Amino acid sequence: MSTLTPSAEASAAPAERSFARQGLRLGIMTMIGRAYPRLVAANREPDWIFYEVALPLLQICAFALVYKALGAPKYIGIVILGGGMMAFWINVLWSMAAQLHWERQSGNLELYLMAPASMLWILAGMAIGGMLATAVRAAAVLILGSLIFGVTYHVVSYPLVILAFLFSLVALYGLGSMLASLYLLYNREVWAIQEVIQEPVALLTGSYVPVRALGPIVAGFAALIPLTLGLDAVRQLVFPHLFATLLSPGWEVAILGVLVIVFCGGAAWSLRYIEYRAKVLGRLSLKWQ
Amino acid sequence: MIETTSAGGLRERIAASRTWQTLRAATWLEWQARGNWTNPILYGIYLIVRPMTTSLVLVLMYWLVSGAHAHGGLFGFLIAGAAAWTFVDQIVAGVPQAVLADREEYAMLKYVYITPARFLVVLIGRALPRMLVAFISFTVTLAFGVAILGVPVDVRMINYPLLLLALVLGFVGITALGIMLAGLALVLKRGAWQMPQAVTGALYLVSGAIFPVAVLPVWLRDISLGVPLTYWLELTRRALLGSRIGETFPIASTGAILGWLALTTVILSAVSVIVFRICDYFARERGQIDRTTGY
Repeated sequence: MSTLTPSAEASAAPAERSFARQGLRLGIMTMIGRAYPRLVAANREPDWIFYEVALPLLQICAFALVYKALGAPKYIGIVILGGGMMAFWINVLWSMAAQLHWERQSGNLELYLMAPASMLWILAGMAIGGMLATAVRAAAVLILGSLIFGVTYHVVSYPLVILAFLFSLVALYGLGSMLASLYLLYNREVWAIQEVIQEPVALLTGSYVPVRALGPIVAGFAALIPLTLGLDAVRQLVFPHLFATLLSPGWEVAILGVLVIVFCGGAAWSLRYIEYRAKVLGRLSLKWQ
Repeated sequence: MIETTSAGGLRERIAASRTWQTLRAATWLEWQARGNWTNPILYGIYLIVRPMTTSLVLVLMYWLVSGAHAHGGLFGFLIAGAAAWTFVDQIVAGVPQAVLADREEYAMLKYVYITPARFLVVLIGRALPRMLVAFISFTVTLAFGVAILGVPVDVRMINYPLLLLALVLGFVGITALGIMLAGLALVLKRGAWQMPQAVTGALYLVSGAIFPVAVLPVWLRDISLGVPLTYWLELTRRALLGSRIGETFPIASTGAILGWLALTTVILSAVSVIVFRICDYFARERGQIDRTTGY
């Protein structure tokens, strides 16, 4: 029940709207501010070309040569595409999930939590900046890999490819934001956890083999990682009839849509929890805590 | 004269004792730094997850092409290579990163430098537990491959002397490479953290860790034959799986491969020590022992 008189309510409404507008403006500025170093500052150092394009390309070439040695060069495209998408997983793992942990170690997390903007906007800025910067690197890997091994693509449906790609990225970065909150509960273990989950995810998501090769049960569980369905859908749409698939691309895109809601909702909830622990309980935001 | 001799002997004994102490302390430090963040069971899982996962990826690739549960031709080749690569991952990529962590995360490197210990001995000490860890990981991954995946390794037919010789020479070469990269990491302004991974990635491709070097383009194959890791992997595979596994290797004779491994290892070790000493000198001169590059 409101305690304000009708005239007071009428005058409060524009104030609330103005407050909401200010909040939104602050949030968007925060997001752009956090995305900026990933998009612009990171590219000031040209050595990223070597470390973030040449390095993943070496590993992709090694796996592509395994297919060549096995006498099945038709599968090389699977590796190239998987390697390109893996760039996003590596970015999510090391630059999203572990980021708040690094920020805590360097003393920035306290500043983030003291700032008037919500942590969600900061994470959104990190995600957008990381996503766009990684897209450039992944595209470079994809183009170079395709040129080296002469891979050709036959796209069945552009809208579905774009939807599958975008949904899997948004869900993946949502997952990264959830992990970012979770990692604040750990200290030195973070490095080990990162190393432990990096390779199994490459296995489970079918980065170098179609996910169906894992068998329907394991592949079903693996589908909870957004990269799995995204990769399977995109591959089906650019290499039609090359391998046994998990589901049809339409179904995979629909499930990815659900994963977007689940992981982005989960990220919002877990970040609110972390803000509560940091601001109300005074925990988690300090180094070695 | 007698006094001079005994003084010289004393100095030698002190030096030997100091080297041993340094080696022991560095080994223990590395063991603690690597493993004391968790309980032994979790640490054990952590050690074997990566090589085992890589092996499984390769197995699935093989089965995708050759049909489910096939075990011929390259099957053992892939698993043995993936298992052996753990040594390179642990030492070539790991030792430089341990040095960087000491310098930048724990800010302890400057204190290690001002002790009377020789830093080269410290680095060898830091490599030893990693070698042990890699050996455990190598054994478990192979055992998993043999028992569960059906890798054709007959434990009665393994050429143990050859395996031992290959592993010992491999350890020397891999440690030398790790030391050289640790020196380079000290003087690099940017990319110091990524450089060891970059070198490991390049070696993964060039040395034919998971495919026969015969499938490489000719120019890359020539480079491959200048890298001791190529011979080390080939000998390890021959010892485990028999000489027929190396039918496509450019050098047929196992003795010749052993000779090449020894020769390239000696050259690599000499170059590594020289490069390390130069980098060490510049790092001291430029005040890079307590620099921070990751910010």
